Amino acid sequence: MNELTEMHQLNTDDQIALRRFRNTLRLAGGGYIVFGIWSIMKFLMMITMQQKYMEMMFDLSDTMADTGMNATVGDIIFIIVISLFVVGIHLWIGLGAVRYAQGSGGKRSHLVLAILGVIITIVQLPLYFYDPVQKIIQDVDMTTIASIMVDITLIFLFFDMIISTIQIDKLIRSTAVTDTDTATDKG
Amino acid sequence: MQEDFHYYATYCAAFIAGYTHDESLDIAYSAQFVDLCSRTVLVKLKAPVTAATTQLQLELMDARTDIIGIQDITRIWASFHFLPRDLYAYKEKRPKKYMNKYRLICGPNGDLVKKTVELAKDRPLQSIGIAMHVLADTWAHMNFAGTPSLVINNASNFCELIQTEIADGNGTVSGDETASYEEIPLTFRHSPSAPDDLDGHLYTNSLLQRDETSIMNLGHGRAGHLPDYSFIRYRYMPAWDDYRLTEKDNPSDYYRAFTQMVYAMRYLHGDLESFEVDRYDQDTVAPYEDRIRGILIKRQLVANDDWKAFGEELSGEEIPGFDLDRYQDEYMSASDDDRDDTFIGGFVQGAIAHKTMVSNEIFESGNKLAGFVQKL
Amino acid sequence: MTKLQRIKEIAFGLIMTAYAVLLFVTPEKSFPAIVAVLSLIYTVRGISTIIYYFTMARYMTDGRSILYKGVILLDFGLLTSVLTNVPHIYVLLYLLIMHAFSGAVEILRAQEAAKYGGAWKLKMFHGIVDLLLALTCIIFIRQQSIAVIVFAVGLVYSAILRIVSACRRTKLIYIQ
Repeated sequence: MNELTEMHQLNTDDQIALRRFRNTLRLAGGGYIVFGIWSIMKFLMMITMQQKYMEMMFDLSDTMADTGMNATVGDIIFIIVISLFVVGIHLWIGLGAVRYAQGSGGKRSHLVLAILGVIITIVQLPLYFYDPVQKIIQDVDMTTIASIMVDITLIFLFFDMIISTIQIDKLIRSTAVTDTDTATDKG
Repeated sequence: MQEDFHYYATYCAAFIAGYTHDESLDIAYSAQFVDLCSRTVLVKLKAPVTAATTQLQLELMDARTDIIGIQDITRIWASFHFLPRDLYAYKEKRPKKYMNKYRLICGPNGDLVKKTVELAKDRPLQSIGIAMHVLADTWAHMNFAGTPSLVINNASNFCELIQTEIADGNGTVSGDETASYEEIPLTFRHSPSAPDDLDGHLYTNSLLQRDETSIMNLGHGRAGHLPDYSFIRYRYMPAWDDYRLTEKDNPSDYYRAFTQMVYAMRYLHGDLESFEVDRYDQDTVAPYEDRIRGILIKRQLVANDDWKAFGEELSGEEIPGFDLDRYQDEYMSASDDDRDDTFIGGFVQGAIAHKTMVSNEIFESGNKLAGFVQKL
Repeated sequence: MTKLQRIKEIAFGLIMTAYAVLLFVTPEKSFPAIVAVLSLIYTVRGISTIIYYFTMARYMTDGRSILYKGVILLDFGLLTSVLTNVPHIYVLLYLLIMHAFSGAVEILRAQEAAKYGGAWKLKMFHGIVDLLLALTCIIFIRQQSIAVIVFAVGLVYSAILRIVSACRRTKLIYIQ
């Protein structure tokens, strides 16, 4: 069939690759935000509904009582601050990635943080199995396996972010590619 | 496609192909009836429900999406509205489960189109109408599959292509390849009751459901009514095409559908010895080309009036509006032995024959999505 | 459906019914079992979503989102299995929202069916039953056993649908 516009230019290997990497980066950014929100929800569920974590909270409260602080208020403030910090980091990286994918943000700060993120996640994986402080092998139950899976997925997500960002840069700089892929439907 | 093409345009094509006014009406009625012959209607008529050629929104809402439900849905939609282009298509490194759905992608000029038209040969006019509906829909609904599938039927990156100038300066309204186009991003909303806003480029589509077998992922729901508007040209990215963009030129596709229908009906009328795919009767339609293209590119939700006027000019006769109830009394008052001789009886037989043929072809290709088929 | 699939569906339906009967008999002690079942449902959903990603969704544009969804569902399902102190009110709220939503949808569908002359009475009945279950959750929100009973009713309903579906005849098309 006849082309209406210069479709053959929109479907070159480089253009297809650019589209693929932009999509992957956008999804990785959005996914990272969702994982951040989920990690906070998980944390809250664990400290409110799991016995050993609730006991840890009470222990913590006893310590803080010695300093004269109101333990319950202190705990809540601590949780809020930590949650906001975690969500903030995820939003910063995630939105940065999404904006870069859409071609509307120039900075690549998400790239540096993604590299840091993948290193930290890989380094902390063995800690699921071995506690270096107490020098004991940890019990691995189903929830640990699930957490490991989440972390492995995060590693892939970070790699997606890193590789996609680098490839997008490379493709845009290449003379063969003009960034004509501007169509986005809303909804 | 909508009533404007399935009823009125099919009438015009039938008349141009050599059928009389009354014959053209019967063909056109049957073509349009395919979009309305649901289980609900058949139960009311006490007709065999296996003849259902569509499912109403209500029926789809209630349809179960377990394996039997999926087979029911696929049998209807793949047979009558999304005829598969290539049941033996190959794509690298894809598992069988994926390929079963990929192979149901609709498109024109596949083997099944030839079988559809040949099946209608020497059969009543109702079968011709059914065949013309199916043939026409292969042009409008291409790149979507008649089975609920997120991985096949999802689509994104829509933009409309508005022709900004016509290079030859003769006022030719065809999709001239030297014309230039402006890209306008489309906005979709999920409001089935609100009509599409053509001027505001605001259209309705189905809600994104990340569930493989959700009814929202059946057919071209994710593209809304865009495939059914003859005037629209647009670009989008289908989920199955590895990040390639696809252009859809409806005015051009609909014109090809029209000329192919004329060619098919001339064969069915006995004027031609055979029907081959990828052939179009441009010569017979040539005197009317400008008129037809003018109707096709006119920016309107429904083109009934224009096609009706054209048809009445062709035949000199009045074309009545489509009336769903027209033949129902005849069928319901007939005795059991005489029902097959009524208009709806003929349609029912034609629908069952066509559905059987397509389901068998899908089953023979090793794909059980349309259910199990046993030969007598 | 093949014979094996039918047998599996019927067996699953019968197990669900038996489990629901157990819940009815000892509602006070069965609350942890509800949480266990919900955990199992989400774990299975997570695993099947991840399998779906690797078999189908990774070949579509935006397919990665399915993987992320699957991993989070799996994590949620497994996490729920170790929670020892889930207040019954959370489960009641979950059941309340589920039944209220599906009840409202069924009633709207029944109204639309009636408008077009289709069968609507059974749909309306289902919708009303769902809303009544949601109302029960609200009225008896302080009682842990209500969560168990409402959950068991839902389980029986799903089991019946499964068994009925498994007994439906597979259509055979005959070439004439």
